[in-house]
Amino acid sequence: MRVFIGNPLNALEFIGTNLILSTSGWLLNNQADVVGILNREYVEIYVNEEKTYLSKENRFLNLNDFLVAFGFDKDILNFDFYFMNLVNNTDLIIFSTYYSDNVLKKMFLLIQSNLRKVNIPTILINSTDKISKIYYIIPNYQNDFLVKDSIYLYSEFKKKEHKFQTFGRYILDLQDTLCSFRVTVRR
Amino acid sequence: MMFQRFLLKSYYWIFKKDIFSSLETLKGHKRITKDILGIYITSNLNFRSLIKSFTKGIGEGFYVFFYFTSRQIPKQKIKLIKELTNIYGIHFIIFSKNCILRMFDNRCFYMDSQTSLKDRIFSISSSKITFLFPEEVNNPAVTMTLKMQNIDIIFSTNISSYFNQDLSNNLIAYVITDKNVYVPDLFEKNMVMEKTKDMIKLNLKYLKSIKNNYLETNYKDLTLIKAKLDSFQI
Repeated sequence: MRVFIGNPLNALEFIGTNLILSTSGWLLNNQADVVGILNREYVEIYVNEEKTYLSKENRFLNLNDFLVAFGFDKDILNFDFYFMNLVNNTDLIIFSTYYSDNVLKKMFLLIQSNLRKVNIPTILINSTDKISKIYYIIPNYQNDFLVKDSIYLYSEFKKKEHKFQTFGRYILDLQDTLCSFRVTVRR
Repeated sequence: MMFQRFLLKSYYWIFKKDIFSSLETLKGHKRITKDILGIYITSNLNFRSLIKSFTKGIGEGFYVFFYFTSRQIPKQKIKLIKELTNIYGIHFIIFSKNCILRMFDNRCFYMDSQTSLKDRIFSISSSKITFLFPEEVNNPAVTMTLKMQNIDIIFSTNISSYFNQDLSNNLIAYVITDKNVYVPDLFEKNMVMEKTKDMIKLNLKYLKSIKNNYLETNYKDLTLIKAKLDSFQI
């Protein structure tokens, strides 16, 4: 899957892109299979000039059997989000966040910790003061990240091998706790 | 049975004076503030030194005591220590070989890796505490279970500092091992935690405020996880 993220004007240089993502308000339609505009709480998705929205309620984009999940500000801290992607076999996570620079440094450590548990490639697009920066995060123990300060990112992602994870007998414990998450106490 | 009673009585006879004098000094001891949880590390299971450290710890407002050993503790000794902790009314946590013991309120809870995660939790002044064994620290399903249980402090027997730090970041919780305390990277370490050789003081105020303001339960995500897990087992 070929993904382009950045200023849509630069997207014209590439041919055969599957997904174009940007934060700016205007787009070139029909340059890719799917075109998306990232926002704080949702993503506007255009497929052949038909407009849909992806949000926290509905995160997944399935493109040629390649599963992309979108995360937003508060999802970074939330392990639920990462675990949900692990069991759903997501191939790529894309975060759209609005953090200041010194908070972002701490957030990288948190994202890495979470990603080491689930092992999914992740792109983070952080927008502050109208400047968007793109980061590609690798889960390793060296505490370094491939940081892209350039205006766009173009990369080809391969679908992950389908791995079946069993988690041992702890899955019973988890199912037990999950049974009760919607129980409300009424007095 | 007779022998045990006799043993207990004889111990009581020997240490009666120490216990009474220590209880005398503890009259009207100060209490620690609500946001701070103190854990006192005892270095010895010797009776006399236990009484000494309990007296010192309670005097400074600690009510969780912790002891680490890689050896097995004989049953007789556990019974005696249990009686002693009852007198003071404190939580006493012992890491011993392949198992964890927690003593409180006339009971001794025995935990090993077969104990389900649900049965390990206990809470002190609205912070939830649990225990983990080495192989569980890096398991995503265990982390997810603890996330659902909303755990604040974890006692871990794993020695890998990477895994413990990761767990601390995943759950936004403090992870305590016999040598170290792991704090989420979100916080400055010396702001929220104070550790000397025999005591740990954890500030839970910032942790709780971060958890309340930034962690939200997305029911849609949880439903997806639940549906997927149910489909695993046919």
